[in-house]
Amino acid sequence: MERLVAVSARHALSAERKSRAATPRGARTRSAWCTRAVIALASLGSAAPALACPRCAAGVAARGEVLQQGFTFNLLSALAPFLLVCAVCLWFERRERP
Amino acid sequence: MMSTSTSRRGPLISAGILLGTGLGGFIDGILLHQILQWHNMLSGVRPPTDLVAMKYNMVWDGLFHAFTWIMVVLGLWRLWAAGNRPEVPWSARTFWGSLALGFGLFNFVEGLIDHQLLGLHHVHPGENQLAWDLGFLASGVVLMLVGWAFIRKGTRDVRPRGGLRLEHHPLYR
Repeated sequence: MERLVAVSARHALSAERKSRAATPRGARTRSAWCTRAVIALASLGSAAPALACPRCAAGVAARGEVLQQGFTFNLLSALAPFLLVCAVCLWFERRERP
Repeated sequence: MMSTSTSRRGPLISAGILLGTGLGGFIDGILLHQILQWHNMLSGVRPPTDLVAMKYNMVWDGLFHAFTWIMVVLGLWRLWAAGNRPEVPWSARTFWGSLALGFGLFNFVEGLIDHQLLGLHHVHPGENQLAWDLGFLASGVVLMLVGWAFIRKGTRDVRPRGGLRLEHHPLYR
């Protein structure tokens, strides 16, 4: 589909260039709405995979793996340094209390 | 003026440690995980060799950044609380020392648990990964020592925030 849109956009651009060349110098040219639409569609086509990525299959699979493969252990491992630092802070807070 | 013995620096040190941990964690996450891409949170367990594995690590990097963000918020909360207490000396040396202590403490603890004990990731995986890991631990120790030295020097600072206790200020009498 993306390839089709890209090819259509290339054809549309080349047709527009030819029509511009045929237009007398100084005359105001205006691209047809369909040309502009195809160009816009082509640019959307190339951007679509990036835009859809948060919902793409790889993202879904990765988030599924995160939750299924030792999530609690990994979470506790990631949290452990922060919790230890918090314990040190608590000690400092209480140490100099009157 | 308050005497050093009665000064209560604990809340300021605690705030500095929390902020130092959070900001240090952001340096790790932004510089080593994202810009240099040396490692990810679980790259030792699930090496990012394909798109799913990269995204898997991306989720864990996100959680790591969420924890560092929470530490910064907690640090701001404690700093605000410390600022509201007239008995807490507003010492720049204590605060900056605590920031360094927090940064170093986090590097040391994180290096010990995640790199050495659990092998969740290594600083720079490859031939010299142990040297990199030890260097990371050493950076933590150096930062802690520097921080502690600053905190020790800060014992001489006894001025509260703004340099004047509110109850002594003419507007609040």
